[in-house]
Amino acid sequence: MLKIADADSAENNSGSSHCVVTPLSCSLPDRREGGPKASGEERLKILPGTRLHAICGSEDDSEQYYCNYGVNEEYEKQFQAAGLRVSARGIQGETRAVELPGHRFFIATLFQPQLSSRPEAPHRFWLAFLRAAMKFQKARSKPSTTRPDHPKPRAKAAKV
Amino acid sequence: MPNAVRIGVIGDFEPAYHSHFATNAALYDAAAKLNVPLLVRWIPTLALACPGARKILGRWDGLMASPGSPYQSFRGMLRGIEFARTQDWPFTGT
Repeated sequence: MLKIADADSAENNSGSSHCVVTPLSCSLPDRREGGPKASGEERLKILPGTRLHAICGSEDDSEQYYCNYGVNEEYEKQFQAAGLRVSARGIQGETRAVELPGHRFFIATLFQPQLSSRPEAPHRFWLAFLRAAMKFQKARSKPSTTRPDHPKPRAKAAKV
Repeated sequence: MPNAVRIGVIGDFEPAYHSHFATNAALYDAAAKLNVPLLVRWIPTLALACPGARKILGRWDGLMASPGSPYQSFRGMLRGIEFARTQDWPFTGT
């Protein structure tokens, strides 16, 4: 979406000069022993006006992580110019979630809401995602209201 | 009874990987809460690096990019994400 032909993740070691995903610079304070840099819990700010905020219902949140890589902040402005919106930030302002406004449902997070979801209390994020999929399924199954564009029947050729 | 909601998880499932196990569990727990039948299948990234990826992806009501990089096919993963982005398919990546 940035129209960068060799955009890559640093994890792939491709030698690309445009790594839009790079190793996280800081470890989380709650880092698990032997775990990746971002492992454990972190407080974050969910930005008002975003879809993620509508799902989570508050600005202050705390989520579970298990990863080593994140968005290269040098490309943040380009991502925003391309239509991606930051929807959550870490305590030092790092990008923690992005979304596409106007899309049916397109949210990517650095944290993993599945790690804090529980059978008796499923994470709101998954409820919202499934609701979006259900709505989409319903919309897809509706018969089209527009008249199908069938070719006109050809006039029978007159017998000679 | 409503139709099962079909979720395709793009990724290379590794049973020993806690995040993968938790992904399936969270989806099924949410479906139970919503009282809706759910079908979850993992779509190997290599399957999306081949022609026919759009047909595979179009079968699902929602798509998800799994945690756990590096993937067997980074290209396949990107194809899945691009499909969801450009075709307005419900999508998340965590």
